[in-house]
Formats: sequence, C-alpha cells, structure tokens
Amino acid sequence: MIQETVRYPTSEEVDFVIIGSGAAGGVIAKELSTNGFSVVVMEQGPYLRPFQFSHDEVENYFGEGLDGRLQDHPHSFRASADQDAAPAFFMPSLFYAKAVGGSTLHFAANYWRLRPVDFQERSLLGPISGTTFADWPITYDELEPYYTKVDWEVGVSGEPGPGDPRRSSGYPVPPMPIKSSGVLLRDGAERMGYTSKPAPLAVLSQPHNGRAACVHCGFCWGQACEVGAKSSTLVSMIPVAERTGRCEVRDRSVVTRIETNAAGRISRVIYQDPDGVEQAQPAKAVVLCANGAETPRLLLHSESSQHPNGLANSSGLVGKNLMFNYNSQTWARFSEPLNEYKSVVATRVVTDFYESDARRGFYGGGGIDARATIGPMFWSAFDNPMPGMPSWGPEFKQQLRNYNYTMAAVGHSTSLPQETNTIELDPDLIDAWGRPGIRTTYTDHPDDLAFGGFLRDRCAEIMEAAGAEQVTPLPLAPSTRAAHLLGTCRMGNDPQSSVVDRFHRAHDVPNLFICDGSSMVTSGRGQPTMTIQALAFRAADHMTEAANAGDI
Amino acid sequence: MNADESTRAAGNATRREFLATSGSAFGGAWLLRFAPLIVATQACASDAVRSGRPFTTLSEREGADFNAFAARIVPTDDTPGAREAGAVHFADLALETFLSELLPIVQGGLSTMNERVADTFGGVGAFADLSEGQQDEIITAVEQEDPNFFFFARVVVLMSLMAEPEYAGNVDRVGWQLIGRGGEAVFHPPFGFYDRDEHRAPTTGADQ
Repeated sequence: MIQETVRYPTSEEVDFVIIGSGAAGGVIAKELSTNGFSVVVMEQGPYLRPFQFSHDEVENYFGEGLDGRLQDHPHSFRASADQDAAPAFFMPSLFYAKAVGGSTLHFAANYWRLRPVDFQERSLLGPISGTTFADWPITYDELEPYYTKVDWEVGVSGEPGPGDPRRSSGYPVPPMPIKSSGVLLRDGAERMGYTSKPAPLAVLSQPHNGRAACVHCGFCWGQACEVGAKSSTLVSMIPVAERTGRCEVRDRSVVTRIETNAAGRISRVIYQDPDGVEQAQPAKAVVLCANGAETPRLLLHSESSQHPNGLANSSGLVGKNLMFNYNSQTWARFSEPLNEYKSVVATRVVTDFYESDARRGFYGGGGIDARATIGPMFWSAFDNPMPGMPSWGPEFKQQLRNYNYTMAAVGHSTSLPQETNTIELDPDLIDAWGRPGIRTTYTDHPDDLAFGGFLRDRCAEIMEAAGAEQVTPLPLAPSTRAAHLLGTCRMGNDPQSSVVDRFHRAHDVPNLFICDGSSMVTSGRGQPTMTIQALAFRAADHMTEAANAGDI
Repeated sequence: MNADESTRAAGNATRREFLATSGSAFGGAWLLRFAPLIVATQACASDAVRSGRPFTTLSEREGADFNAFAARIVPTDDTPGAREAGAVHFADLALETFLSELLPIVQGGLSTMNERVADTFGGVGAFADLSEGQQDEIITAVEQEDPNFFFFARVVVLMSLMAEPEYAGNVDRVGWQLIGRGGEAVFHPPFGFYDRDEHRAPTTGADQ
C-alpha cells in the first residue's frame, strides 16, 4: 500500500533538508524524523516501488531504468589533467542509481565492515609517496555501535568469521545459502591454506523487520529487488521515516544550488520540481548525501561571494582525493554446472589479505569474493570473449554455452587517496537541468595496481586449487569506470586538510552536514556501503544532539 | 533433489507468473514510455523473423547485411543462432529507441563494410550476398580495421540474443536456451552441482 505522507509547503522552513535518499540519506532521514524533526528528502530520480522493478536488462541498463538516461546526465572522464576529458558514450563512467533508495537499489549488497586498522593506517605505516594517505578522525570502536545498528535496522545476513573485527552483537539473520561458487572458493582457499567465511550481505535470508526473505531470483547486481529482500533504503529506512509523519520524500526534485545568506549560512535549497519549475525550500540545516560525485558537483556549483571556490571549500579539497576501490577479476570454468544465475551475487569471501604487508613491496589490502556471473545479457555482451578466445563464430558460440559452468573470483582492494584524482565541473557539458556535467579525472596509484595484481594471482591459485578446467585472469586494467565514489569531501579535524569535521559538519558552513562516500578518508577494502551507513547513523546522532542544543 | 531437479521444481514459476503474483502489471518508467511500441513489436516479432517484415529504422539493404553479420557472430548449427533469435529486428527497434546513439555507427559501419566487399570481391554485391566463407573473410578484416563498428554491432547482436523477448530478439528464448538460463525468477537451493550437499536444513524463508 502506498500511504499518504506529510507535505511541507515551500514557504515553511523545515528543520532539515536531506539531499539524496540513498545509503546515507535514507538512514539520516529515518533517524532525524524518528527523533522528532521535520525533514524533506530531495531525490532527483523517481519514487519507484518494488512492484515496478523488473529483470529487464535492457530497461535497467539502457533505458531510463534506475540510472536515468545518459543524455540527461552527461559526464566525462580523463586519466589526468593534461588530457581532454571524453564525454561518456553508451555507458556511464560513474554508476549510481537516480531513484528513491539511490544505489542501494542496485548494489551487490556486500556489507563488509572496516577493521580497526583502516582508521589508523597512516600512523601505522607512515606516508606513501604521491598520496594524501591520512588517519581518520574516528576509530573503529567509535563506529562499532553504528555498524551493529546497520546490521539490525537495515538488515544484514551473515555469520562471524576469521579476521572479523570486534562485534557487539551477532547478525540478525543467518548467511544466505552457499552457492556453488562459494563452495569452490571455500574449498580452493582451504587447499591453499587460506580461510573463508560467509559473505555478509544486505539481503535477507529470513524475514526480518516485516520484510520478506530472498527468493534467489539472481538479479541483484545492477538491478532492484521486487520482493524487498535486498535491504535498500527504499524498503528498510524510507518507510520508517515516512511513517513518523514528519518526513516528506520529494522525488524528481533536482537540486541545482544551495543558497547561503550574507552570514555565509545556508538559507535554502534551490531545486527544479518534476514540472521543471524552479522552487526553493528553506531549512535550518542541510544534510548533503548525494554520493561522492554528486555531492562535490553541487558544492562546487553553489559558489557565492562568501564561498568563491564553492561551498565548504576553503580547503580546496572538495572533489579531490577521489577513490574508486581497485577491482581485479579471474574467471574460471568448471566441469559441472554452477548455475550462477541463481541467487545473490556472492556467498563466500576470503579476507586473509586484508592487511597491507610491507614485505610485498607495495601498499594494499583487500578481499576476494566468489561472484555470480551477472545477467545473461550483460555477461554475453560485455564479459565475453575472455582474453585469447575468439569473439565470434562457432567457437565463440561454444563459449556462450559455458555460462552455467563459469564463475569469477574477484579481488576488491584499496585505492590510495591522491589529490590529482578529482570530481570537477565539466566546462563544456550541461545536464538536462542546466547543471554543469561531472568531469572525473582518475589514475590508479601504482600500488593500487600492484596489489590488484597480487590479489588476482591469489584468485587464480584458489581457482586452480578448486579444480577449475580453465582459469583466465583478466589483465590489470586502469580504472576508468566506478560505482564506489569515495573521499571527495574527506572528514578530519584540521580545516586545512579536510572538508567536514568528525561529526560530518562542514568546517566552513555551520548548518551544512555532508555524509556519504565522500566522507571516507581511506577507501577501505572494497565494499563501502556498510561503512557509509554506519557513518550516517553516527552523524544523525550528532545532528540530533546539535539541533536539540540549538546548534544548527 | 539434485540441482537440475531443483531447477525444474522451481521452473514453473516463470518471470511472467512471478510478476503477476507479485502484483506487477508494469515495468519501470522506461517500459511505460515505450510500452505501445514494445507490445506491437512483441506481437509480430516471431512473424517478422519468418516473413521478412520490412524494417522501420534500417533500410532493406542494411537489414539484410546486419542479419548476415549477426548470423556469422553467433552462427546457426544444431541449435538456433542470432538469425533465428531475430537479431535484426531487435537491432531495428533498439537503434531507433534505447540504442539510438549507435545508429550512425552501425549504419556507417555497414556502408564501409560494403565498400570493403566491393574492393575485395568486386561485382558480387553486398555483404549479405557473399558466401559464408567470404563473409568470414570480411568480418575478420572489419574486426581489425573498424573495431568501433565491430564492437558495437557485435554488442547489439549479443543483446538481441539475451534480452527479454519483448524487444523483438531472443525469439522463442533461443538465446537463453543456448546458455541454459530459463525464464524462471524463483529458485531454491541447491543451486548447482557443487553445492548439492550443502543444504541439509532449510535456511531461508522461501524454503519454509
């Protein structure tokens, strides 16, 4: 049932405007509205309901689907500042959903916690050339209670395993049933002397919080869940927020500027409503949760006489230190069917290589998961041919028949922060709402590639040990596309070297909070959403305290 | 129950039944916008493959050449290939709508390919008129020398095999049959051969 929710007139100042309804925005909307504040959530995409989602790969990848049309969202990519940026063609270079729930709608739902080491790695390891490697201003212990809130309130399935950081509570539901890919990863790893454990996933293995369990349809990756078993904020957080009667979700509302007054404080948010009419929503405070690309774009586009380099950008770091998480793939073919098109993306992980090891000669850490091949259309058109194999003709057709016999062992790993990796305003591209397009500049640090190669070699040996008939490690490619958009408004105690403080309040603007992937100081090992949501729960606690103290 | 039996047990729940039982009469926003076009296309897709229905986006020449190209990418053997999947009709729809940015690349590439045909086999005619061996010779050259066209045209062919049949390709689901993926949308463990002994106790709500 779609219930009527509160509607605030734009003439009325609300306590908080939250920009973005995804991983962080959904959590903060739920927390603030539950804590008694009036909240308007601005979401640029539509408010789709689970029954409107489909398994249609054409619609989801090439239609308006979840990510919107590329021509409406022009953006560009270049490897370095001395190159011309190439506008995205055919496929986006930055993948994120534009709908209520954001990219929690179509993520793979891997919910790894960071470990204590992630927060203090700079102190432990020292500086790394060419990077802005830094400690976080918070510790794992400060964040742990909020990780547990994510487990229970958002809904995470799993089981504690080797190498896990301290947990104050178990998982609310058991791990998803293991798939053939998980068995092969587990057994191959054991034969190599490594350990594995069930993949923690934001997908319900059993009913929880009034939501249904997964039916193993196999369309998690890049697609949204029709039964609400995937723990998107659309089904886990937004309904709770709306039921308070204090949270309005304003969909198809595209924020174009955040306006400040003569004192440099935010006065209101300017946006285009679904009819393309410009509106303004006043608020006591704004919480920016638009993701690591959209957040810096909006800040840079909201420059004013008080904030000539863009809002909250006295440090010059808005949009800088972009991190993607490096990713390497090893495909393997087995003699018997795996049928990886069924159920969730990954059911087993190996995290024995989480910590950096100076003996390797480079920085880096990460984890391996056993991956489903994704939808049949995407797999056939874009994951084939494998290197060294024909791309057409009878032999290629025979390769297509390997679909059910194939899996990938995927390495997810660190990206070092570099000031030269940036999100900026593209000088030539304008989107459908008159905003400058996003220009991404990105080159992997040599250590990111070196560790990616190390992890790929481990994947290959595990697949060999598991008895694969054929093992095909993919070449280490420079990162040119990403779904993990991290670090572009990093948190820190020093306003000279960070954008937000340890409670996500902008150093420069007292009534602006920023919380999403952009807050992350380091990249973690490849699955950031769990941490983004823990940060969001924690940030909301502090926003609540500040608002109750009249300090917003 | 082994993996294949489990597939069959769950296999009666087709995608369409699943959507019906989950209350969906709609696709997403995109599908709503193109629904009339898709319904019309779907209705005649199978007939189109058999009868050679004229194209709406591609010219007759382009359609014939694309069809021949598709048939060499995923050829017909003891099982259907791209031709039987209706690749050309998928392309005709896709290049008009959701892949319209590829239309100039495909049209330009087909034209250039026929220039190569004329240079190589002067006087024979267009690509579709060549023998399969001659077509393979041309494609081998095109893959090397016009990689942009080859990549995108090949992508369209593969999409045509694996997309939902609503888009005029994957006729009779021949693409999914080729790779062994049915139209089911609900599964239960065991999922495959290697996890067949791993699920002694029910672990999910779906099993209970």
